[in-house]
Amino acid sequence: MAEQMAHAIQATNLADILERVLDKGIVIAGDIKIQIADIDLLNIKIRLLIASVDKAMEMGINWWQQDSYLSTKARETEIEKENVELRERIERLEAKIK
Amino acid sequence: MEAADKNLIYLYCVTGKAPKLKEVENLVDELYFVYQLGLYAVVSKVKESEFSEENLKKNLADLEWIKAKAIIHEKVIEGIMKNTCVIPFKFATIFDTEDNLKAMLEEHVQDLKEKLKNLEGKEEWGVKIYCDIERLKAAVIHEESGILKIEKEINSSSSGKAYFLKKKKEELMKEAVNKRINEYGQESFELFKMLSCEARINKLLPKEVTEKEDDMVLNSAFLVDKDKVSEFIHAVDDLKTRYNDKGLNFDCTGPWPPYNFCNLSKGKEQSG
Repeated sequence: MAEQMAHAIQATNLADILERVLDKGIVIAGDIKIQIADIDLLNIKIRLLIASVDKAMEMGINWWQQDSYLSTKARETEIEKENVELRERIERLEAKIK
Repeated sequence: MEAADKNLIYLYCVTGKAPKLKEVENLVDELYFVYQLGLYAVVSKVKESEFSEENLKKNLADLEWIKAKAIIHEKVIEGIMKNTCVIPFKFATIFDTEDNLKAMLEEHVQDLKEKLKNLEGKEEWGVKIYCDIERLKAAVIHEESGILKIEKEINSSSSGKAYFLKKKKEELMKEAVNKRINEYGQESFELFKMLSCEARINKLLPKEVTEKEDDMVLNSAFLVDKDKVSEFIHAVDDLKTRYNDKGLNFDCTGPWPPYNFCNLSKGKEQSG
C-alpha cells in the first residue's frame, strides 16, 4: 500500500489529457453546438489525435474485433462510417491547402 | 453600438454532492456551482469573445489555446474529484444561461443520477502498451524455427535466391511479431479487465501524437473499484516485468475523472 502512483497530470504527457478531454467525457449538447472534429484547419496534431486513421488495423492488431463484448457490429459500422467521412473531410481540407 | 462581452456558462462536471470549490477556485475566474434536483453542476463564466460559436471555432484552430484550456478543464475536474464522485463533461460544453443549464440537468436527471451511482467509489485508470518492435523481433526470432531455418538457407544461397528468401523471412517475421503483439495485448487486457468493473479499448494513437519512439499497441481504460486499485497497479507492474525483454512497455496513469465511462445509457451510444 506504500505505493504512491504519481498523479495523472505529472505522470502523463499532454496527449493523455487531450485524448480524454477532447474526445471523451459525457456528451450532452449545450447551447453552443460545435463538433470538435468539424473544425476547419484544425491543427494536424489534434486532427491526428481525434480523427486518427485506424492505427490498429494498419499494424494488424485486431484481437478485440473478435470480442463481441467490446465490439458490436453496430459500433464497427458506425466507426467505419465515421472514418469515411473523416477521410473525405481531410481530403477536402488538403485540397484547400494546396 | 459595440456589444458588451457577454458571459456564457462553461460546464466542467456534474456531482451528486456539494462540490468543494476552494482548491480549484484559482484555476479559473468565477467558478461556482448550479444546483438542480439533487445535482450540482460545476461551472464557470466564460466570455463570448472566447467561447461563442464563431470565436470558439477560431480558437479551436489554435493548438496552444486548446492545450491551455484542456489542461484547465482537466485540473478543475480533478480537483473536484478529490472530494466527490464526478461526471466529467466533454470539452467546451457551453450554455447561454443558467436556465438552459438547469433545463438540461432536469432533462437528464435520471440518467445522471444513475451514472453517479454507478461511478461511486470507482476510479478510471488508463493503460497504454508500447512496443519496441525491433526488440520484440530480436526476442521472437529464437522461438521461430521456420525463420531460423530460412536464415540458415540465406547464408548458403546464391544472391538471387537469397533475395527472395530474405523477403520471405521478413514476411514470416512480421507475422510472428503481429501474432505476439495481439497475444500479449489481449492477455494483458483480459487480466486488467478481470480486476476492474468496466473496460474500454480506445484508438491507438500514432507516434506524432504520443511523441514516443515505440509504437502504441494497446490503448485501454478501466473503471476500477477504489479498493482494488493497488491490486490493479501491481498487476500492471507484474506484466511490465514479465514482458520487459519482449520490448513491451506499460504506461499506467490515473486516477482520471471517468471520461471513458460516462456515456449516457440511452440514445446514440446504445448498441445491440
